[in-house]
Amino acid sequence: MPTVADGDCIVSIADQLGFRDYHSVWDYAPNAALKQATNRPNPNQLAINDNVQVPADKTKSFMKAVDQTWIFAVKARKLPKLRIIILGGRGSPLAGKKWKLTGAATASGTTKDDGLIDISDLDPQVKDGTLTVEWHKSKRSATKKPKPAKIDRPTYPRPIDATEFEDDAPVLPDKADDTIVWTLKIGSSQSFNVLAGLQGRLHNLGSRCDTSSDATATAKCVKAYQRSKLDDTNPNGTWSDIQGDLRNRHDNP
Amino acid sequence: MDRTVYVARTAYDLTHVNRLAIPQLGVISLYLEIGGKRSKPYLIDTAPPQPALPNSSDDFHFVPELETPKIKYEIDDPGALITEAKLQLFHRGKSEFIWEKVLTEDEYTHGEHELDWNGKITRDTDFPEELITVEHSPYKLKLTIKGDGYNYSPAAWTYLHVLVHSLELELGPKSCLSAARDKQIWDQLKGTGTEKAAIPSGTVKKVVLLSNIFSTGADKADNTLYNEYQALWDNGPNIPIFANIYVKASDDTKKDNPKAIGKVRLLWDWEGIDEDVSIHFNKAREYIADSINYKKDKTKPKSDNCHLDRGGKRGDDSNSVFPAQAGYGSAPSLTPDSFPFKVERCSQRTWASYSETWRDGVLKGKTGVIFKPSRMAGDRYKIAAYFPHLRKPDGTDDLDTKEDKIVHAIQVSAESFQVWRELHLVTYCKKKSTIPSLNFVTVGNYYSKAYISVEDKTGGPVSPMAAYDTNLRAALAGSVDKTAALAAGDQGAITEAGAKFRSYADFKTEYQTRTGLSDDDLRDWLNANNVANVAAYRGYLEAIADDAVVKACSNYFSANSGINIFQFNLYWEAGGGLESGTNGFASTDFANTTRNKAGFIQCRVNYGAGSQNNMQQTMSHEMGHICFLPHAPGAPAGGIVAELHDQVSHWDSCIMSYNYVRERQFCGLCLLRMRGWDQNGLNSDSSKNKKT
Repeated sequence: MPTVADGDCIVSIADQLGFRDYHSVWDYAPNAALKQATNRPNPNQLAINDNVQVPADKTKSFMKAVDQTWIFAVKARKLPKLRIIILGGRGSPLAGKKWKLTGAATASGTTKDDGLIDISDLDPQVKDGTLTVEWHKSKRSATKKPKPAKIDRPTYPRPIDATEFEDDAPVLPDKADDTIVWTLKIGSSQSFNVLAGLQGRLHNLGSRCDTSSDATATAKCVKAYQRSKLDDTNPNGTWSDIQGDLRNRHDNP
Repeated sequence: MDRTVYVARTAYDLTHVNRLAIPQLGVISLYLEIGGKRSKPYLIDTAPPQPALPNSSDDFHFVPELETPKIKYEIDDPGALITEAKLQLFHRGKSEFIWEKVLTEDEYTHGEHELDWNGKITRDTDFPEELITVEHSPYKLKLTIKGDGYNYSPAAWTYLHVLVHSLELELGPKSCLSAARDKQIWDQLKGTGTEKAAIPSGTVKKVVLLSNIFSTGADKADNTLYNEYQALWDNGPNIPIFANIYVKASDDTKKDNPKAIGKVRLLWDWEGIDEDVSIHFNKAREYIADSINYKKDKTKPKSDNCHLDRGGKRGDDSNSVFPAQAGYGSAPSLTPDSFPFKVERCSQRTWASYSETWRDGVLKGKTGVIFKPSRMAGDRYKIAAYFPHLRKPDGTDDLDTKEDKIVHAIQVSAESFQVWRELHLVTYCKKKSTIPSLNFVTVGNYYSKAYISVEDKTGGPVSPMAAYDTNLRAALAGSVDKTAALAAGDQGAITEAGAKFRSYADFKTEYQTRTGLSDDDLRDWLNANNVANVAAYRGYLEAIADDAVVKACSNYFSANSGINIFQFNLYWEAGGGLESGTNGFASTDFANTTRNKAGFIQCRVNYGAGSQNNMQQTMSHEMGHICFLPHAPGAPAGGIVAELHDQVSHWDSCIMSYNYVRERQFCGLCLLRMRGWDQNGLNSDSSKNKKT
């Protein structure tokens, strides 16, 4: 009876135990309670320390004549995918952006119209990877000094001449930030209905919050979510109030 | 940008995804709002463009402290990534902020926010009243955020102003003047009204220079008038003119908050007003028109005022109407006898000056100048104060030019000040109340053509002249013959004339009685003293009167500076139908005559032809002598100075002549001299006074 650790999911557990198909484990009757919608409805999103029931090894025996030739077809391992949608500002998908995956697999390409990066045949045991996305091309014009206003006939008040103000120009994002490097913790996305699962999703969606955040920091980020995504003008910061919405926004294809 | 994320595998037969968002933050907008008006929000060029904000402009303004606009801003921070946010206020020409508000966490959360702000900032040398001011307007309010993500819009900003609505002039406090004469003018200008009402609006306000300076004898032809008047009033009086500066509220109405002004400069300018020469009869009009036209096109500002070459200030770059002042800087109270504001001459517009406001203290938000018009009567000034539309970051502006008109400025003007001289009539003695009174108004009208105000300070005519008989007889005491000539009885009662004498026959009898002379000795005495006949007796009596009546009148001189008037009906009369033919005369033989006290005797009532020669004309003539005017051609020989009058070929009936063929009027040259002009620059030929 494996206990779920960071990076585990039903697929990786089943694979580790030699099951070619995760359903062998997931659909195992003793896991019925685990699969409940209110518990862990997604086999890829468990929670650390969850207990998974695993069927005994199923050794198949075949009795065949030895003077004939038999072909045994062994079903291939049914490997998982890695599906990531890249979002830009205000949650809109970033299409046509160059990406490169290393570690978990080596792949590259450009995001699809819906911002999707879809990696198939992912090694279920791989837990780390690096995804690099060239998501932005900075314009540097903002650093240009504005031209002095031409004032032929001064009115009152005179037109603003921005060049007369000598305050420091705003610090623009570094050009290096045009590329984002995500260190992927594969399998570490926990179930939506545990705090770490919520924190991870918030983090994935660009929040300061992560699985190490304390209650105060988490509540602050929940409030920001409630304001920005739910238009809640009086957010309460209660994480359980957003778990369903967050799951939908993060997980739904 | 590096970030660790938590992703799920997706089983071969499932479709769920992991969404990874670029962690982003930014300011979406920043503006001020009050009464439906908004300032225009700005973002960096690379920030996503925002829809135009309705009713927003770069002209946003309000009155600090009296109005409280809202600072409105919107922050995009769905991930609570912001670690620091601050509002900072800047003004032109300075990189450091002048005010900063570090926002609290609640103030920089995702979404829209608003803060009340009434323009209060941190106290500073430049902002002693802790408010933004006109001085450093416009201002830039900037919201800057920092955070752990892609800060696509790290700052937003907007501009705001503290604007001048209008200026208002008023008479400055009397305490900033030191000279008594200036304080007298201050009293005269203010009268019983307010300091604001002392500033002319649509009217001419007289600046009256009291100048009871009079001839003391042989000084009518040598420019003594000019020199004495110059000694008295030098380059003119000092008149404090202050300007109140009002602030424009968000609804464009006028508000008074001197704390919101700061240290700004006003330019003080003046322009001339065309002299109304139509007040003069045609000959004087021609003479004066020529004279005021002197170098008119070559001096700025263009004006009919007296030119430097004639003793005035027009064209005199070194002698400003708004002289430089050191001022003494902001203080909680005024320093007596000292002018508070710093005033500097313009470098290009040499006839104008700049004055500086106080940032704080009892005169905060105000400034002013000493208005120092020339002493020349008739000079007229429309003074104006200008606040420039265009103030550079260092406080300078574009008003210091030689252009005739200043247009790019908020202005206020006073329409207008005109210099007048003032003479006082201090005594008016009439021998008897039955004598028709002199009409001082009529006389004043002659002098008003020279912008001289003849003020009646006599308190009305005094009749009879107390103890006149005693005074008259005392004047002749010791002279047997002269006292013998005087008629018996109370000279104050028996005649309206200055003296009543015996007839020639009675005189001889009286004298012989008093002296006991024999007939022969009497005859010898009469011959020796030129009293041998009635005609000679007339002259003898005139001489007695010149001595006795003048001496007697000296007893009635006022202690005050001014002109003393003694009126009789006939200078003298005598038995046998004799009487003096003298109409009147000014004399410096009055015992109390000084440079500031003079007198004349008016001694005929009805004479001449109609209005062409009457006692008012005589009075004007005699006052003319008192005012240093010599006789004009046509008067008895001996005192005529033809070159100090308009040419006879042009005008032969100056009131200083004796020509009675038409109404006599002061000639143009007399009028200009009395106005204070330097006679050395004036020619009796008016055409030579015009020089373009």
